[in-house]
Amino acid sequence: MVVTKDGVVVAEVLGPDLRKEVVAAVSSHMIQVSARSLEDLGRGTLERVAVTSAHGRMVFVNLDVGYLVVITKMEMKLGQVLIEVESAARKIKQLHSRI
Amino acid sequence: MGLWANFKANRELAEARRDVARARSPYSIAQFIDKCIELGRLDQAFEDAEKGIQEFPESESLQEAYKRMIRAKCADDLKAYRDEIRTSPGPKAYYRLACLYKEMRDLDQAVELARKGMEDYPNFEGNYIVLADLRYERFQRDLRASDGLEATQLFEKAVDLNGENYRLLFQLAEIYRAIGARDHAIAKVKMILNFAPDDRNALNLLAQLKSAKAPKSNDLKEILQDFERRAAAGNFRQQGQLSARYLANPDQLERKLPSLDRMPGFQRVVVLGPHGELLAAHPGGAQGNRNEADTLKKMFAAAIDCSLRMDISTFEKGLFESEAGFTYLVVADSLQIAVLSNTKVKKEKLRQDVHRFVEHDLYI
Repeated sequence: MVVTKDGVVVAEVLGPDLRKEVVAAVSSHMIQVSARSLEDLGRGTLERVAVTSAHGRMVFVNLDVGYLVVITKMEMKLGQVLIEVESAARKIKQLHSRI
Repeated sequence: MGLWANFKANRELAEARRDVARARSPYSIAQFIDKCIELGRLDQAFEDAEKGIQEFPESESLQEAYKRMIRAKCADDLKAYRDEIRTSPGPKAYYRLACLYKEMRDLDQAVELARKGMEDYPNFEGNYIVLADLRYERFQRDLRASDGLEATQLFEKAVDLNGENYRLLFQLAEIYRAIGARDHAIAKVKMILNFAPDDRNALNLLAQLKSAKAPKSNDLKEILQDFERRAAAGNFRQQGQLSARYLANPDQLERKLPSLDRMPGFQRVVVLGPHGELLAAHPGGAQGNRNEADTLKKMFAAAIDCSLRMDISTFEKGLFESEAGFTYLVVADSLQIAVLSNTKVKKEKLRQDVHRFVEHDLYI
């Protein structure tokens, strides 16, 4: 899903177990809290977050105009997920720069 | 294995065992298990993995080592069951393979197979039970009403298909009792007594249930939501070994933190308790890191909530990358550990060093 910091969905392809509104709202909250916290800690702008949970992974990538949010199952290795996500983020950024 | 090879393997194992004895931690036990796997001593690996998990149930190293061990041990079964699905698929073939994946802790595969078995053969109860078990496991860990509801619905579906499955009925009655759904539990015990009227376990359970307090509502959804509220208030969570040790003695924890100084790029570590209370920090000690701890507490809360609401279960770790470096959050046995580093360290090295610190240094 591509979502703005305020939770507006720009584009999405979600699996059957995920609801668009929930993913957008929760992602937006997570991004806002993380970005603000990192600034408060003096660590600058949030670029990427990779979360591992008991049953899956989430990756958030800053696209400047919004965030790319990817949720995967556990069976995918983190390194593999990050390569795919970075590649998708690059393509989206290129696409945006052409508009 | 030849005589010489056997002798050599024994010597290597003895050496590995001495390493564990010198500093017993989940990390060192996991390394021993890996050594056993490498040497083909799978029974030894199994024995130590079982003991280790009993001793350190929250340890990530041991869970991973257990998975590797069980995969090595079940490799032949896995091949046979996969072949069975290819050549003569049936409800039991899906059930067997799903159970095997569940045992191997490959839960995505287990869910996928059980779902497929359930869709293709809806009148066989086994695949409902596998899915229900997995959902119930998750309910036990996350204590979320939605998981509990889904688990009980799946178990009920299995009961509809086979109302004389003793183990299933007893398990469901125990689950209802644990969440406070007394009348639901009584109904299941009565089903057991219909076909096994003298069963002592069922009669005992019935007596216990009848003497228990009746719930305010009989609606399962409401009961589970009430359970979730009580769980959120911390009524059911048990303290693990690490949190019990360091909540009682945060000074001991603070003395361990400087060992992270040797990590390349290390800047700061802050450790919070299960409710976000500041336990220890380095450098500067707890007093010198109050503001950082408040901010990190918010980050932990957001990540934990986000994981649960995205339906990927309990948050374990998160790497936050920003201009100034990495902020690595790890939850280990209810302790919330935040390690801050600059960009000089490689991400994988940061993960490994923090993993070792959590799974070894904190336990010894």
